[in-house]
Amino acid sequence: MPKTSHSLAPTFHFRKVECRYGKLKALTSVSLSVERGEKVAIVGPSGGGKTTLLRLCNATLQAHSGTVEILGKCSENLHPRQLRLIRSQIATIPQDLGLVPNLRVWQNIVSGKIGKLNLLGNLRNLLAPSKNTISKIHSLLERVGIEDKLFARTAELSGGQQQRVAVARALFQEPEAILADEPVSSVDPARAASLVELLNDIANERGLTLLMSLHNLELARNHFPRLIGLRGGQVHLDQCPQQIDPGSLEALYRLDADEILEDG
Amino acid sequence: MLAGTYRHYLGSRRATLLAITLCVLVSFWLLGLNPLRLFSGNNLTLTRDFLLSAFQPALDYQKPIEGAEPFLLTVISTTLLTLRFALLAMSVAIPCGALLALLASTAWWPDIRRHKMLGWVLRPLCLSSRIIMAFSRSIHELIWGLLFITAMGLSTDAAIIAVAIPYSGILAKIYSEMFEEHSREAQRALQAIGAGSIVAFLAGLLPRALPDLITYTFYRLECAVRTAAVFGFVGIETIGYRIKLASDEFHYREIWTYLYVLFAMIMVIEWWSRALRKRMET
Ligand SMILES: Nc1ncnc2c1ncn2[C@@H]1O[C@H](COP(=O)(O)OP(=O)(O)OP(=O)(O)O)[C@@H](O)[C@H]1O
Ligand SMILES: [Mg+2]
Repeated sequence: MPKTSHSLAPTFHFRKVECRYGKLKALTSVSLSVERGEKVAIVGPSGGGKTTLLRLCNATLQAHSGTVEILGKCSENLHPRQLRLIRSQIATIPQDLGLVPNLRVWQNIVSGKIGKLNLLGNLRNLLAPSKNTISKIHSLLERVGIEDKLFARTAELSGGQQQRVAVARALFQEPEAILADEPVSSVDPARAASLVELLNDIANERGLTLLMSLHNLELARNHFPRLIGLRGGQVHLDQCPQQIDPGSLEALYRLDADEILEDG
Repeated sequence: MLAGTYRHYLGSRRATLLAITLCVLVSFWLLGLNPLRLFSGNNLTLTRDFLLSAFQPALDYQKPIEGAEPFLLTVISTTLLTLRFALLAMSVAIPCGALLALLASTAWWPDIRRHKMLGWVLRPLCLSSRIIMAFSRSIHELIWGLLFITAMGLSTDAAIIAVAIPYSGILAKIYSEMFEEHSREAQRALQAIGAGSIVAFLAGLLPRALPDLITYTFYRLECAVRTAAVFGFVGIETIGYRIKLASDEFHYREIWTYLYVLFAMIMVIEWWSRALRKRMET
């Protein structure tokens, strides 16, 4: 019974959300809803509020007014335990990937379950994992295409391979949704496209919600059925790529007067 | 144009080097140091004897002693005593230092804006641990040693505790700085997927800092070996004690044997530390 009501609630639901850093308004009056299994790209200029939006989605940041509901639960005033429970259901791939470089690849992946286990379970996983766990990680690495790196030291992998480790960690977490903040900004265009495809395929296979911020508009348009454009902390557009007219895209990225450098 | 700038740059570098050399010489003069005195008159022969002895370290007593155990056996037992002293001091200092470092560091704290009560407990703990750290290391181990030996009499245990106290403070300071300095991205990433702050610290930050922690701990072990040797001059029967006995008799070759043993111990520790670090990084 709770299961069904749970699955009806949208993954993320924002109602008139405002979020500030000190005096600076990073988001103003943002209302949007992301349904289960939906795949959304967040685009917009630097400083538009993409990272802020994603941080509200895993409750590492709190709205100052309005409400954010994550998997049907209001993210405000949660008990630390409830907060951790919610976060453990949302996988986050940060821009810097957040891997420990001097640990082995499998150790980084095994920590995907860190929010779902207690201290002892985590220590056991990190120091003496079961065969079962290792073979599961191996099959995830197969899925992301670097199965030969299971026991490699993470620092010895290329940037693109490390991104795949971060994806595998997100999968090991068995989340309801994946958040990715500009996951492809540090690799070449071909690898960027293949990683975005990989995440999309995985989201389709498992029915996951996927929310990804992207600087590359082309990638966003080619791979996502829905684009949300943020500019100055406001939702500038929220459409499927076919409906977006070039004018509003141009307006989304237009430089402000104070951003234009004078020719010296 | 560029060549001119370059010459100017070199010129100013030369001036700096010259100024430093002058400063050193002037401070020698102010301190009354005169390197030439090492080589004048009687000192000259002593210096020469001492340096020549380096090529023939003693393998037996320079002057046979009735009923004493063989020289090399004394060397071995003294070496083991010195090593044991250093290891014991470190095995007290490492857990104490680690505990103080954790208390003094904010890296594993939960968000105290969310948990106000915890802040009231953690902040005083942090402050008092920093005060203990500062106090314990502001007094040199030899002074701690003097205090303890005055209070408890000349015993190896007293000397070991005297070394462990400032070493705990020093280790704690460096450990806690390493906790604060290493990048937090992994720790933050783990907290974003639901890890508690302590677990995120253990899994995200500690492994990252571990190679540095271990390298520094080995460096401290090296210092402890040296300190153990110095405590010989207070009367603990470590290498320093033997060196003092030999130097009272002007047995330079015996001194060199002990100096080489010290050197070998430091080298072994260095090699051990490198091997461990390499294992952790490749
Ligand atoms: N930790 C912070 N402290 C203060 N201001 C911040 C902080 N993080 C972001 N901001 C400000 O909030 C606004 C939105 O930032 P945000 O990081 O969400 O933008 P973004 O769309 O992710 O930009 P980018 O594409 O460059 O990553 C910016 O004006 C930024 O300067
Ligand atoms: Mg950003």
